[in-house]
Amino acid sequence: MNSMHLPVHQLRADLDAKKYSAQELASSYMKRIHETQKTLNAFITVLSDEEVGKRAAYADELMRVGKTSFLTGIPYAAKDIFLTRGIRTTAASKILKEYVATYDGTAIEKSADAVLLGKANLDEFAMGSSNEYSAFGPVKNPYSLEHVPGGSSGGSAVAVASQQAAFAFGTDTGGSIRLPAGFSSVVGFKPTYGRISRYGVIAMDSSLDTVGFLTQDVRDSAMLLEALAGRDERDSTTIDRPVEKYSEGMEDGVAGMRIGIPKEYFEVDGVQEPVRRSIEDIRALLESLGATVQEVSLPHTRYAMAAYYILTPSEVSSNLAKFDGIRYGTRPLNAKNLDEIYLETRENGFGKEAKRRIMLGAFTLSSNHIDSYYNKALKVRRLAAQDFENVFKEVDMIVCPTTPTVPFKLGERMTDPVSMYVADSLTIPTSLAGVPALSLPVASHNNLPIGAQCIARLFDERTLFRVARTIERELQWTKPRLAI
Amino acid sequence: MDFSKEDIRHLGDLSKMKLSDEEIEHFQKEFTSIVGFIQTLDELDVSNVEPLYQLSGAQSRTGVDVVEQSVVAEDIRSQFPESTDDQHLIVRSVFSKSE
Repeated sequence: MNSMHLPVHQLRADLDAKKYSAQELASSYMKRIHETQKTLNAFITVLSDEEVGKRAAYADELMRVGKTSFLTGIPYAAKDIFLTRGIRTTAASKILKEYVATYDGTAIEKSADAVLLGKANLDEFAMGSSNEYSAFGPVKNPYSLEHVPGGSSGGSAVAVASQQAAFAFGTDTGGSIRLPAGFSSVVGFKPTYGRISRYGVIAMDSSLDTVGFLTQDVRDSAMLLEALAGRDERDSTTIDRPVEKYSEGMEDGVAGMRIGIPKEYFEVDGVQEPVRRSIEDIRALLESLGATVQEVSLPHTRYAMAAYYILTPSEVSSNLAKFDGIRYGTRPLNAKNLDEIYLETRENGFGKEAKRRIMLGAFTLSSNHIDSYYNKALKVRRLAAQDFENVFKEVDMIVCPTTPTVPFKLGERMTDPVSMYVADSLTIPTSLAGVPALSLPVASHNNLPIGAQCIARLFDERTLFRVARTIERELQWTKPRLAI
Repeated sequence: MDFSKEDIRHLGDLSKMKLSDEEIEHFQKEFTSIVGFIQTLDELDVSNVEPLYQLSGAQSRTGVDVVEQSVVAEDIRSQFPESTDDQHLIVRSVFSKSE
């Protein structure tokens, strides 16, 4: 079967037209996983062919009796931070390497008709920008095996890019969906904070974490949002707003729209020329289609990143306190008392970036330093959010690069954490403001992907999809070739 | 801001992590660089800015009290590799007499 490059909405049409069964579809994806897993390492856990077959047979039965939803029978991957009943959830950490959840989270529950193929690799507890901080080994970029796929939802992005899954769930706290989408040449969407329930997703930075998707095209993101959005009593941060038809009006173009390009996004360290050029091309395209494009200013851009790397460690140090060998984690056999259990479990269970952020959080929250770090960062977050409010009085949408650079080489930034953090410098401000954003593949340079980011007002996902779809439909560019 | 070995060891204690000498040396260098980077916030005057804690304006609300199947006992037991039979969980002692 050769349908694995197709977006979900086309697979849906094919399944409905009985061109193939869900079981046939699932087994062709499984075959592809078996071909690529050793090389790309996109999954931490792959379900057995038998288990996948069972799930697909259930979907076929649902379709046979006419109980078909958008996702029925669609093969997908979930970042291994989404709890799945009976299938282990590791968060890419040694500390949870044997953990099997006793329930499904909301996103998994809402996708019960779809066919889960496996749990995708990530940076440990979703902390990282390259997917190198995984206790289960790094994920490789499918276009160039020496390069990183971006993180932290690297496995999810690569699974979709290399046709091992039709779509994948990811999480985005400071760019963890958009960055790997940009580096892996797929669409990566992060909704407005609170739009999709986080229930059953292991928390990293609760006040910023969002659930989103990696997909083949923009329409898939919109359709998935229709299926996944909505208030959830089990997550008090979900917003109480009606679920809209987000895909409606997607094809209506951009004539008369006002688009902003933030000048500060080209002033951060090391914006590469091909990245700069890709945005110039989009600017020209949007203007030719009748939009007005203007320069806008988000003056606190460079401070947003510093604020993020205070807020996130602070919340991490609190959220990861429960991994202590008593509540979670493998208990050391030789520990003689409570303190030894804690110390040994955490020392052996956490990787480098997790330790770094936990300790930084202990520092930024400590009584001597909380005012100059944590409390100050909360105020800067307000300023970053106000930047967006102000800009959205002038324009309807922002278009900018997803990352300053093309994918970097494996190992290149592992010795300098600040250089790794900089990879998120163009995605973090959006996260602090809670606004929806999407990364779209728009260019390649020496076969390495380049993504562009679209950012909309709070709750205005429809405009986001409409502009992104226009660029997707009209832009001429050279797609990178898969290396495997 | 510079971090001494003692500072790092203290943060390790607060975080309940026993760090090796090698790690302490490593984190000492890294923290000096990371904190140097986050100190760019010192350039901003935020004395008149309200902190922003939460983005979706989460409000506590009362839920409807419905009886439903929660976690199954068997699932809980499966989380305890040290259990011996269907009825009992082995919980290791965590307190010791002080020496």
